[in-house]
Amino acid sequence: MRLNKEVFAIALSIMILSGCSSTDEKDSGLLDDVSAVDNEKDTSTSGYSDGSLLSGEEFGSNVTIDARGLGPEFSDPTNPLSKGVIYFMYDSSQVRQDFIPVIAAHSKYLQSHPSQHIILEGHADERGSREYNIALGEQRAKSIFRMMKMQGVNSNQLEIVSYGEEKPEAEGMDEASWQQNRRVEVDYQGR
Amino acid sequence: MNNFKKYGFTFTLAVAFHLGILAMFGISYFSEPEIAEVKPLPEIIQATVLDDVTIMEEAKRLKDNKKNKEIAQQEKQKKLEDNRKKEEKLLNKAKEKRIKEEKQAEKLEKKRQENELKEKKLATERKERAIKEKERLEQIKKDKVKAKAKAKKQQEEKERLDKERKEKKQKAEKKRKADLAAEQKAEAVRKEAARQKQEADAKAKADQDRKATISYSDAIRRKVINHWIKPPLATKGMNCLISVTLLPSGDVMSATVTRGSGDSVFDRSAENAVRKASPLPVPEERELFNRTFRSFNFNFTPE
Amino acid sequence: MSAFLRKILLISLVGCYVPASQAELTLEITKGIESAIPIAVVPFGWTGSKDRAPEDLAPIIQADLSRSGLLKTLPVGEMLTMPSKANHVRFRNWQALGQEYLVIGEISEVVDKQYQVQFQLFNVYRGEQFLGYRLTVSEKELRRTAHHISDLIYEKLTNKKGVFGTRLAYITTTSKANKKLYKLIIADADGFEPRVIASSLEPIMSPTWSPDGKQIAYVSFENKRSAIFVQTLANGKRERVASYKGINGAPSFSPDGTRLALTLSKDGSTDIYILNLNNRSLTKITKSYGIDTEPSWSPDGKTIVYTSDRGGKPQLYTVPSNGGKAKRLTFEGDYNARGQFSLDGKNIAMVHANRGDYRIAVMDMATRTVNVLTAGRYDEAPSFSPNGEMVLYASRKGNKNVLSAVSIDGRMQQNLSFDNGDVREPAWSP
Repeated sequence: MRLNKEVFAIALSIMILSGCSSTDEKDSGLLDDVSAVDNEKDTSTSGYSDGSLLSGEEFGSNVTIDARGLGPEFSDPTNPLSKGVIYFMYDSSQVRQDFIPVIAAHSKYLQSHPSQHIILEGHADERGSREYNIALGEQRAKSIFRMMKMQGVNSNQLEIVSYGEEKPEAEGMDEASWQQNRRVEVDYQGR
Repeated sequence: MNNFKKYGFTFTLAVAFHLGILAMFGISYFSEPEIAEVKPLPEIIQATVLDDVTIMEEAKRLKDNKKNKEIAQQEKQKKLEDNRKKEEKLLNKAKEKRIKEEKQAEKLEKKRQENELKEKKLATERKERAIKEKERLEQIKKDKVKAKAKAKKQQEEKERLDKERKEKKQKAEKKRKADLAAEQKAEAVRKEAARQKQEADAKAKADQDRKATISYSDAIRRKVINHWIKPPLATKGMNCLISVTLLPSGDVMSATVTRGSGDSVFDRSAENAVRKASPLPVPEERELFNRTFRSFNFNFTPE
Repeated sequence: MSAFLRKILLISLVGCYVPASQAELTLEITKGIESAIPIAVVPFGWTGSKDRAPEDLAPIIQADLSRSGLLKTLPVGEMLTMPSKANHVRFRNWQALGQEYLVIGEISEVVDKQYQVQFQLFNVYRGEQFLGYRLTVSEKELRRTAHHISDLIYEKLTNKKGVFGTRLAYITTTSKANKKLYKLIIADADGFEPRVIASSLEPIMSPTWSPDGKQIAYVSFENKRSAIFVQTLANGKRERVASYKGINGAPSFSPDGTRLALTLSKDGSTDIYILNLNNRSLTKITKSYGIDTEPSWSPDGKTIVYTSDRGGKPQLYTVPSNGGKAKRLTFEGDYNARGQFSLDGKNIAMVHANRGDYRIAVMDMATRTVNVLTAGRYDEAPSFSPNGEMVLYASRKGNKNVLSAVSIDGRMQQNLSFDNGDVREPAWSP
């Protein structure tokens, strides 16, 4: 009987656990038993789901330049401003020489558009541990941040976030993909 | 003459009588046991030294003397007769006396004769007895000597026989002992040879067994090693002793942990390995199997 | 030569046997084979109103036991007979199949949706029962019961705590209409019964269990910035405990559950802080210009192991949990990160890279030797099983991230199949 109780207790905990499932994958059979808990869960998790949906829209691939209030210079491939991504070497946050003009162009633009502000989004390739890559992405973004500040950009216009390896540009497990993932994206937020 | 005769006769008789006494003494003297023989004889009786012949001669001489004396007496009496006629009365008186005397003499004579006879007889008897005695003594002596000789001979014979027997016995004993020794020696040699052979056989067998034991032990170990799933956490220094009992087929009849490692998982893995490896490769030779492989131990101890 | 060595030599010369004339023969067995223990789990018998049991427990048990690496189950197809009652068991059959242990069982319907489950474990070579239980459970509890039976069998056969009844937390991503959906999922240790406890179109990272198994802390970017949440499993309620400027990452509960170690970059450099969950006070315990991150507590709560690149490349360091001098722990390889103490504190698992291959390694804290357990190229996120026997980790299979497990001696390795997309960052429940 002891075992029986134990099994029952574990089963109960699982039932309760299942109560906090999101609505995506619910087990109706189990949820029936814990409807009271279910309600509470809905509030916390749904709000949290909505938030992600909102941000998802913001980062959708079909976002127009206009929506961010940027001029046509950003679409001109000959203009350095068209380059919104700065790439890095492996396990490095040193700004490569070839990207200095790009950073300078963005700094110039920000100085001339003090109402604009950007998020410098640091990224890393998928190798290594995720939290370390978060830190590495942040250091990359900070390198740009420091450089832009030195070039006269007001730090109020600059924000940093690092996604580490969580948002790769390329999914492949090869150097060609990794190169694209070791980056800082310059993200104009509009007004 | 008569008187004379009478006196002569009396005298003779007296002499004879005295002689007889003497003789009796002598005889009695001589009739002493043979011990006297070796004694020096007294000088006075030298004449009477007796031997068979002298005794006879003496007797005759005594007889002859008596006869001569009687003749002289008679001649004297004739002379005396004449005197007697003269002296008739005296004579008568004397005659009476003489008769009396004669009677006495006669009596004496008779007695003497009887004595003599008796003496004679006695002497004869004595003599015979002496002879006999002598003979007997001699015989005895002879017998004695003979017996002595015989005894000696017998003794010698006996001794000889004894010696012979003894020698024979000794010889036999010696032989027996020698035989026995030889036999014992042979037996010992035989035994030693047997022992050596047995030893050699045993050694050869032991060698063979030893080799067989090693080779079967190796085979058993290999089989058990191949069945022992060593627990991942089995570490050096752990050890588990398992006693097994096998059937002659090598099938494990029992496997018991006799000294555990303290880790039940380890002990069980060892016990299962032994059971899984059953049947174990064991010698077909029953003696070796019984002695070494019917029951033995495994010591599971990781390197 | 030491006496001990001489003794060893002598033993080896003697040939490991003692002549019978002197003593009983004793054969030394010093070697064995490295193999999982063979065990047959026969499909359970069924008595009930329906054609078959609502759930066959045997396959669940088989999968559990096989996954442990210490046991190897016999495929059902190779079984000669399938007894469900003890008096039908012929041990010779199972011996012939080389099975050391045998599990049989029966499920019978008591009333509607109520079942009696009984099972027996036999030692095949001894021919005797080793374990036997009978229990009454509901239909929903059947799967759970199977895991419980697996635990009982495993514990009996290995003297180690079974972890089949434990759970895993992990992150998955699925792509839907050009959108990536991140989910934090909790499932049984065998990967079945997954439940999503949080989902977002922005990354969710670094799930970690509270010591009592009742809460999970994780990093979410749902507000476009990283923040750390602590979510209670029973009611789904969560609290944002850190949302500072910059990085809010790598949460780790203290062994007593009252504090949370985490990584913040609010002051410019990326450092380790300790957040008191009761009064929300924050203590910075590392100070370096480089990256300090991925803190993990020692079981006694006194030490924190973390990743730092202050030496140029990421290596593991330790620091007292109340602050103090940092000490470098790893020197092998050019990349050591995400250290995690085992529950007994004897080992630290880590991501270890040498010449570009990222692998899972375990450092023995007593000897400081590092043992590389995996052979992948992109292995990461090691997490100890609660019994310390296994390390669960994420690896790359083709173009997908999958979960794998490896025994801490590196002998046993296997992939856990999850069919719902890309799986990563596993965290094993206490």
